Amino acid sequence: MSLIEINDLHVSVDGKEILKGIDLAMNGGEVHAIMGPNGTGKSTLSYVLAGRDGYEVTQGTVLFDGKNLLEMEADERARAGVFLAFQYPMEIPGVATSTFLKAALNAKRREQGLDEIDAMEFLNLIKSKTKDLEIPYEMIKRPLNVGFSGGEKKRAEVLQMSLLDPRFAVLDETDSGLDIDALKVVSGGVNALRNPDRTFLLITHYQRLLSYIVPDYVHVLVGGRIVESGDKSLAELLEAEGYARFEENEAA
Amino acid sequence: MLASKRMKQLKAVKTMTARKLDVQMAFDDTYANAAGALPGAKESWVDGLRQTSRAILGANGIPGPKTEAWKYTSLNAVANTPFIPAKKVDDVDVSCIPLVAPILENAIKVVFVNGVFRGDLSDEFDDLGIGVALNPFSDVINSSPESLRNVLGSVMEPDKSFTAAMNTGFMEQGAVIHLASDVHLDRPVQFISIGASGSVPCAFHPRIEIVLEAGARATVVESHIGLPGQPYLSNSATEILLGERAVLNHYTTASEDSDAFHLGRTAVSVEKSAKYESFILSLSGRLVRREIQVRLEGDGAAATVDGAYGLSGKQHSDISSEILHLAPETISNQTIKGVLAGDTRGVFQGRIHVARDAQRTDGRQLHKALLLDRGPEVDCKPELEIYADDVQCAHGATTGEMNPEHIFYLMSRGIDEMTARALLVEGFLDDVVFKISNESARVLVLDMVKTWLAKQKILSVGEL
Ligand SMILES: Nc1ncnc2c1ncn2[C@@H]1O[C@H](COP(=O)(O)OP(=O)(O)OP(=O)(O)O)[C@@H](O)[C@H]1O
Ligand SMILES: [Mg+2]
Repeated sequence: MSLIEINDLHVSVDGKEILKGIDLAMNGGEVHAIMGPNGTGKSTLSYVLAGRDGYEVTQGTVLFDGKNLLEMEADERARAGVFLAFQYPMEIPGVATSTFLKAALNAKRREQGLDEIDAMEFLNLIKSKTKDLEIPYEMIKRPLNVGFSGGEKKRAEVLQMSLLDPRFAVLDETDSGLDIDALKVVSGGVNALRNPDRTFLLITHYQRLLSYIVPDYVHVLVGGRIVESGDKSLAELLEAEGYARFEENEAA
Repeated sequence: MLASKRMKQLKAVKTMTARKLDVQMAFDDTYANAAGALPGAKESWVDGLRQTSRAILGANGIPGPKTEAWKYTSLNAVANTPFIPAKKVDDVDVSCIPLVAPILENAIKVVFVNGVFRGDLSDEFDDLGIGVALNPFSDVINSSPESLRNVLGSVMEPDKSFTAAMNTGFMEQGAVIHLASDVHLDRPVQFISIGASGSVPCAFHPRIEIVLEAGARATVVESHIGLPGQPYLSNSATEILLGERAVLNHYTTASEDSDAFHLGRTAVSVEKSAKYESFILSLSGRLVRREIQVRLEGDGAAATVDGAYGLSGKQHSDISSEILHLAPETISNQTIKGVLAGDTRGVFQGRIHVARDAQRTDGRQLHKALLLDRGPEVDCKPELEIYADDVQCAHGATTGEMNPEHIFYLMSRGIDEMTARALLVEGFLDDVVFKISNESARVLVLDMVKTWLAKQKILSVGEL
């Protein structure tokens, strides 16, 4: 059985159908990439998986490790191992990044029956993670994402992912806004997390990311449906030709 | 029918006169008898200050909704409580005070219980170094009244503020800080004023005078707290004169007993290039009104007048602020944030006045209220009065509920909804608390906010 099974998923927002029947199965250890034109429902899919309010599932199912994901609250999903790196991470004034990271980590530890993390241990953990991702340590004392540059926000998302150690991570355009060096660092961070028990879903517009994090499968999402799937060569084809071919089909 | 209507009218008239009489009785009967014995009474100018203030009280009575400054804050409950002068209260158990008082690290603590100075609970402060004088108000006014001649009452304006008039009419104890030119007092001073009525409602009127000569620097924290019992009325007034280039950090916290009333006023004069940084924290008490008036008198004088309040149950909090730009290139900055739940009311009145000569002035004001449910009422009255033409002034006000996207972001990291809300509420207030530049004071206020939040059940109710 796959770690994630999405079957015939239909989702509406404000009465408008955005996802029109998604089928996707992802196994442990796999990296899947989703590409597609603007506004075709990629972020919508990521939010539905993460459990955001306001997305009405009108049809279909999502199983995570055999359990009905759609019945779980967002926080339960996260503690069960689902992680979404946001396309637009929220700025939260007044909440220090470190306070937030600690709360998130402790929520997970409680779920696992562990005690809250010791202050020193937390500090050391954060120090080593920020170093790996080349994030200035000072940044975690600042309010969460407030005033972070676009690239800093994306790195902070990857820091959170690496700290929470998810089984299924959706990265929604984590590459956009990163400079060339940061892209390498962040990709390195993701690659380091690749293992047989962990599954990634990368949403991206650029083939460049996929040359660093080489996907097992590439899917094309157009008009709320997956219209084609293939291996990494599909990304190269899209880079060269664009989406015109699929959009014509869609219109037809 | 007619008769009962008439009765009602009569009753209304009666309550109105009673309202006036109560003030006079409470303040003349019980207090005036002792007037001759009040510290400094032998000095005609001190006596004059008190007499004038009482005459104002007597003439005006307790302000009602028709008085513009009290439009949103009713003093009915104060008027209807028969307070006695607090010094008559003698059954106060002070043993628990160290447990309830928010203690500022490394501070020189000066403690008052019901307005009475308590040397036994305070730190030593006779010898704080050359140029530093910290003394009980009653000592100074008795033994060297001349030193206060141009200070006491110089900016308090009892004719404009009921709070100031009541304090000035009955001021008795308190403290005076004087720093000579260029003296930097490294240790912060913390005034802890504790209300404890015991079995009878009582009122007290602590008076603090702070004078920083040119170039002097200090940090002063005023912590107003209380013990459970009958309601008390804490009516404090703090008068501050800052000479050229002087820098004062002044943080006032009110975490009064839930039945208590607090009416406090701060009046500040800021000379050329001097800086006044302040923070008002209002967390508990049945009714808390903090008034602040800052006069930016000299070129380049600057003031930060921030604050935060948290309200639950049936609390009422009022922050009424006036910032007067009276000289060129003066700067003021104000952010006030409030969190409200339940049957509460939060009032912010913020007036910024820019005089004709105060060119190139910069004045900024922001009030933000966060409503945790549909119960609270927020009244925000910003007022800009600008008579100069070359100025930068901006004010803004928002009132809103919690941002569901923020809640989702935190929950998407595994944080449960209640914890997420608590973190966000804390963050909402901390955002302005972070502006406190003195570290130990900042830590103290952050702790107080955290403790307050932990006590609130409001955050456990899910739906807005
Ligand atoms: N609250 C909403 N109300 C109405 N339409 C919405 C709402 N949220 C999303 N949509 C619409 O749903 C569609 C899909 O949006 P989505 O963000 O999923 O696109 P995307 O594929 O991630 O695009 P991009 O590549 O630009 O990030 C868009 O047309 C968008 O305008
Ligand atoms: Mg998107």
